[in-house]
Amino acid sequence: MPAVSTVNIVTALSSEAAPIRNALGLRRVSTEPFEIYEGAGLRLIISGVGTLLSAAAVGFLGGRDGASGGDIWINCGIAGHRNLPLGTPVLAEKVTSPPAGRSYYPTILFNAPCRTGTVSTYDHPVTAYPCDACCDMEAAGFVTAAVALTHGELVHVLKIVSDNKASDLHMINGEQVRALIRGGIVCLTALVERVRTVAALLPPPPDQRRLAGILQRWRFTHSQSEQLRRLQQRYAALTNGAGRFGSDLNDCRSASEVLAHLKAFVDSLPLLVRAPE
Amino acid sequence: MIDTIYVEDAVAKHRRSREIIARFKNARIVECRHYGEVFNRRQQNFRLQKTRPALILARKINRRVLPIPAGYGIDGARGYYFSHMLNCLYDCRYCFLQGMFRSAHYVLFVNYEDFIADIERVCGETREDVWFFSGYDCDSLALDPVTGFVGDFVPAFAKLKNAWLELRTKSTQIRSLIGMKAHSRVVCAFSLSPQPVVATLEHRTPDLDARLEAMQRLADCGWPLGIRFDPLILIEDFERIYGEFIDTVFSRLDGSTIHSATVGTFRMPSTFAKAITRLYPEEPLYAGRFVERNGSLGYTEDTIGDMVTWTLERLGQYLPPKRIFVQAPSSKGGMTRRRERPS
Repeated sequence: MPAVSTVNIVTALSSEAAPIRNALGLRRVSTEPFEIYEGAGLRLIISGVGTLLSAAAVGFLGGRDGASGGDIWINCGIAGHRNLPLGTPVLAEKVTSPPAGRSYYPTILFNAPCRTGTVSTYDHPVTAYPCDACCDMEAAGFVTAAVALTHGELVHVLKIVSDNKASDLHMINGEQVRALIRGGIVCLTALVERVRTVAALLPPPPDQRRLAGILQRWRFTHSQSEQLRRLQQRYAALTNGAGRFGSDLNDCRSASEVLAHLKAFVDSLPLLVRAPE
Repeated sequence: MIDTIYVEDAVAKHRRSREIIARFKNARIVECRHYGEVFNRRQQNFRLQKTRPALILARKINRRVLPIPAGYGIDGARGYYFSHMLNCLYDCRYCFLQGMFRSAHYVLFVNYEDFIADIERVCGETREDVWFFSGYDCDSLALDPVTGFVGDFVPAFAKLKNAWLELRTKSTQIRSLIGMKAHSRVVCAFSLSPQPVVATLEHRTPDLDARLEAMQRLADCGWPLGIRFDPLILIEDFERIYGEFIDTVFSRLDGSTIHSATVGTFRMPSTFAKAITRLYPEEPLYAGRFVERNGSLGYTEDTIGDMVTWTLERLGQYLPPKRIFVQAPSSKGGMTRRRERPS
C-alpha cells in the first residue's frame, strides 16, 4: 500500500491563502512565526513576500512536523504576465531566477490542469514584464527549498495572472487577489489530485508497526535502524509479504544480535526470481 | 507518448531538432541552456519519471566515441562505443541505466554529423577492423522512428571499409533496416530472455516471440544477427526454462545467420545497485544475497559457473564455439567481454 503524501501549500499573502483554506476546509493551527492551516492531508503556510521568506516557510513547515520524502509541495499565488488575461492559471514548466541566473524545471508527470509556462522570480515587483513569463517574487526561493525536502517531481508552482500590461499591478487590492485565487481553486485542486497520483507510485513504506515493536524493545542507533528497515524490505521482497518478519528474536540481547540474526535469516532465503503464474 | 521536449539553445535550430519537434505537435517545448540543467540535477526520482519521460534534445560536445576497456572486444578487435542517446524506452529492472542516471528522461544528441566524423577519424587511424557498439546507454532501435538513427548511421558505416557496428536492441522497430540494403558489417544484436523473465523483469519490451519474428525478417533480408543471452537470470527451474527458451530461439532462427552469441550472468555495479534498491525496495531481484567483486554485485562464483557452463553446453548444440563469447563480470556495467570457448 503506497504512503499517503501530505500536501503542503505555500502562499505569500493571506489574501492568497484565504480562498484556499476556505475551499479545502483548513483550520488555523499556528500564527507565529508563520500562519499555518491544516486539514486532512493538507497544510498551508503563509510565507510573506519574497524568495527568502518563501524558502524559510518551506523549511519551517518541513521541520515543524518532520517532512516526509514523499510530501507534495505547491507554491500558489498571483503573478504578472505581459499579455495573458487576468485570472489565467499557469503551471510552471520552468522557474527562472534572473537575478541569480539559475533555472529549475518542474517535472510534470500528469496532464497539466491548465496551460504551462515559465515563471521568472524577481526580488522586486515587476511591471515592465520583460519576457514571455509569469513574473513573481517567490517561486525560485520556494523550489530551491522544497526540492531539498522531497522528490523534484512532487514540487510545483501554480500562478494566477493578476496583472498585465493593460492592468497595472498597483491597481490590485486584497479583495481582487481573493477573487483571482478563488477562480483558480478548481485548477489547484486538480493539480493536488494529479500530483497525489504521482506520489502514489513511490515504493510502499516498511511495515511500521512491526518495526516499531523491534525498535522499542532494543536500543538501535540511527544506522542500525536503517539496516533493520532494509532487512525488512528484503524479507518482504523475497517472501512476497508472506510470513512475519522478526518473529523469533526472543534470544537476542542487543540490537546488534537482532540485526545479525535477521541478516542471517534473510541471506538464507533463496535468491530466485519467480516467474509469473 | 512524449509530451515535454526540452531543447538546448545550441540545437534549437538544428534540422533534426526541428523535425522531431514537428513530429510532436502537442508537446510542450521548454528551452534550456544545457541538458544537464534538466538531466543531472539532484532530487530527481527515476522511478517516477519513468512513468512519463520527457525528451531532451541536446548537443554532445566531446567524448562522443569512447574506447571499450583494453583487451576486450569481439575477436580481440579494437572496440569503441558511442551513445547518440541516453536512456531507454524500456524499463528492464536489471538495467544499470536506472542506477547510473538521476533522470529517466531521454536525451537525444542530435549532432549525428559530429559522431560520424569522430567514427571516420577513428577508422582512419588504422587498417585493422574496428568495432563500434551503439546500444550501451540506450536501445539502438527502440526510438528509431523518432531519432532516424539507423537512416543516418548505417549508410555512414557502409562507407567505412574497416568499421563494424553492433546495433544492440530488444526492439521490433526494424522498418528502416528492412528498407535498406543489408550490410555485412552491421550486426543486429538482440538481447533475448525466456518469456517468464521478459514478463517479470523486462517491462514494456516486446515479448520474445515478437523479437524472434523481427530477427527472422532481418535475417531474411541478409542482416547478420547477434544474440545476447545477457543477463542470464537465476530463475526458479532455470534449466527447464532456459532450455526451452534456447531450443525455441534456434527453432526459429537459422544458426548460420548468427554472427555471434554472448552469454553473461546478471551483475550490477554496487553503487548503481544501491541507487536502484532505493528506487525499488520491493524488487526481489535486488533483495537476495549477492557477492561483491571489484565493485560489482553478482551471483556467487559457483552459481555463475553453473549457469554459464550449462548455457554454453546448450548453445553448443546450435552454434560453433568460435561464435560464442562469455561476458565477464565487470564493474563497468555490460560492455566488457572476453572470449571463452565452452569446455
